[in-house]
Amino acid sequence: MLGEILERADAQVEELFRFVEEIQRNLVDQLGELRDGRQVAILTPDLRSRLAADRALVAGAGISLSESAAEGVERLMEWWTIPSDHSLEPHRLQASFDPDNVSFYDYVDTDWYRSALEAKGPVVNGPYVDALGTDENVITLSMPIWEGEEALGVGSLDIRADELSMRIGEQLSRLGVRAALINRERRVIASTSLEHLPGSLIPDDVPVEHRGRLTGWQTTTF
Amino acid sequence: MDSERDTFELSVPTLPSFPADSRAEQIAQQMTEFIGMGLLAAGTRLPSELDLATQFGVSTVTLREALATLRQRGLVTTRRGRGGGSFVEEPLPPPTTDRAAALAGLRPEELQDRLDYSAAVGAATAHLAASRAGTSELERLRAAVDGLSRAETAAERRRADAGFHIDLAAASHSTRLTRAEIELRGEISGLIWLVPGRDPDQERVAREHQAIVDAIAERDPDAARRAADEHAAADARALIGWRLANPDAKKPAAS
Repeated sequence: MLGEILERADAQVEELFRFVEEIQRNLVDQLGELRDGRQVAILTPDLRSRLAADRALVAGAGISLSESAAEGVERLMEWWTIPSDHSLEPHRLQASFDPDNVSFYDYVDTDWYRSALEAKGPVVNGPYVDALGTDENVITLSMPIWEGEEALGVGSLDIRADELSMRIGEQLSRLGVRAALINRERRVIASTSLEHLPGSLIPDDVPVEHRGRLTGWQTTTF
Repeated sequence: MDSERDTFELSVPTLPSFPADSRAEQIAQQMTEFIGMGLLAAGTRLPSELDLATQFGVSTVTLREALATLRQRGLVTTRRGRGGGSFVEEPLPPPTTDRAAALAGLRPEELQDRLDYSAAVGAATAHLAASRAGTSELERLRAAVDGLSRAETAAERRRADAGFHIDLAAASHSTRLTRAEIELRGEISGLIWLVPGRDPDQERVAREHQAIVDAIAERDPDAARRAADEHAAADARALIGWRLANPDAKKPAAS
């Protein structure tokens, strides 16, 4: 039923978070090389192929270091982009950032970065249009990278919101109900109601039925 | 799935620039605009030549020609070896005379055509954002209005103005409209802010942006659309007015 669809989605997100942890570990192991610029960080071939295993859904993943963890030299982001087109290989996007520069990409100011540090744990943001990044409609899973008590930065993974919307939408359709899956801020992720299409907001007075433990996603019927 | 958009973090709309321009020059021009608007931050490493060529749908020879132009303009540096690649440089203020030439080179009808399109996209994004913008998106829009009020140089004003419109489009939660707005700002924000002898009214623009944000905060789509329409009309009057007042300007020679 509706609750089961939500539970499955929640479980899938949980699995993806475990994967983010693995990616974090792999990249953080290379932190020394990253910091002094001796070497670029490389995801192991195994992680790379697993990242691309569901390329229709997963748009990319990587780590973004805090200013102190990058040791003042520059902000660091190690990001792997997964083209959904099978003829294109996953590729590494290295953006380095000079904080003195007026146009540097201030990821520390983004929702997905800030909220992970504030929550001190996994958070899910979106769907939103990543206008200055991929220009895609994405949902970002992010979590702090811990070194003891200190957060070194944030590991994150983007999933394509349109693909998720389609997959969940199909499940909702099979139930034969007019229902929607919505996020914490009550934005529609997937829906079978023409009046409440993905991307729109559901008014506060519409009651919700279930709540995902990890995602905070909710279901509602019309 | 639409696969072409997934190849890299750059939307690559085809800019209808001066028809005489080669494809390499068009690509160079487009990337120049992206860098100028701050959409490609300094320090960003560009994808490989092959990836970029694939994305623009050109041969690597053409792509290399475009990169060579960008290197000449000091917008990109290329480093060899391990950890190498092409990196975006901090843009110097563009030569403003180029801007005047670009604006003067457009026939008033061409200019109006661009601005009509911009007005349509702007109104649609404002209308949708009023019902779809989340709390943090609204905060970003407010910050963008403040950013424009505080901007002190022409380049900062341009960046703040383009940033506002792109944030507004993102708040509409429409991927297509966001890409259209990014493309449009590449075409018109330089014309609005960087033409010497034109004195764009920063206060007016900030005020109009504020009116759009207020309507979105009120969750009033119709008021947001009206405010965006008025803003676009005021920009259009100012730009087309300048063009009509400078009828003798020559179309720049194709480089």
